[in-house]
Amino acid sequence: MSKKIEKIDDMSVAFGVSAVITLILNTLLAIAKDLYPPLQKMMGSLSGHHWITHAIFDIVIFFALGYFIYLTKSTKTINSDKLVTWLYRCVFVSVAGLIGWFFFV
Amino acid sequence: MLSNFLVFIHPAFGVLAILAAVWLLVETLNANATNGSRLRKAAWSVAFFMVLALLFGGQWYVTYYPAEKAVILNGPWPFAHNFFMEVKEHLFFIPLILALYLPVVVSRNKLNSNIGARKIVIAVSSIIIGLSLLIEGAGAVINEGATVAYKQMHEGEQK
Repeated sequence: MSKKIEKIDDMSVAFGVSAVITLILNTLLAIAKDLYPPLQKMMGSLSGHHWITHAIFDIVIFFALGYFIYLTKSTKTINSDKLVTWLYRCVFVSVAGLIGWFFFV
Repeated sequence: MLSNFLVFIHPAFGVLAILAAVWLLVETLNANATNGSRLRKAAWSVAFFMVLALLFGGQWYVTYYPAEKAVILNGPWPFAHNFFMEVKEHLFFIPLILALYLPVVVSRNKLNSNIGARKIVIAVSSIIIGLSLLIEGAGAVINEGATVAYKQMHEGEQK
């Protein structure tokens, strides 16, 4: 029996993929800042506080990457089931990464 | 005074974002031809309240938290900062980004006829609700960490 593929509009898929990538980058950046203090200092110098720079980075990456993916139309093979699976996996990895890093390190 | 206002208003906006996400979840589960407008309002409400939580929480975190952090680290619950605040300040970006994503899906798809879009909205709003509740809980631990630290300082001054 073939699985039914749900069609959603291209921009929703593009920004969904962008959210997945942004959340992973968010966790990696949080760990990198903690691991390498000069990075945190450099981010602090950009906006006055490393957390503000981190927030701006996440928001800009989400919208810019989402729009870029939408323009390249490279999401044709991604359906809603796949996107939902990616979202759950990436949230799990991001949350586990943050909790694990700050608990054990 | 402003510090007290900010410390109470930012979790309040977080709670409103959670309530809006619950509203969106319920509207999505009952998506039909007549609730498209409410779906869009709910999705935009989640994003709006989450951004307000970011702005007010960020203002408090950047301006007033450094002094409180020093007190917490010298108190009996240093983990309130070392673990709970460190996780909370970065975990918050997950529901924030997902909240900004919701209006895109809800505005560009007819949820009553598109099962795929419904699945995405249900997943995203559920994640936002769960993580935001965790963040609210972490905030309570940080608050208690500061309370016990100030209590210890006060007892030290009396001796």
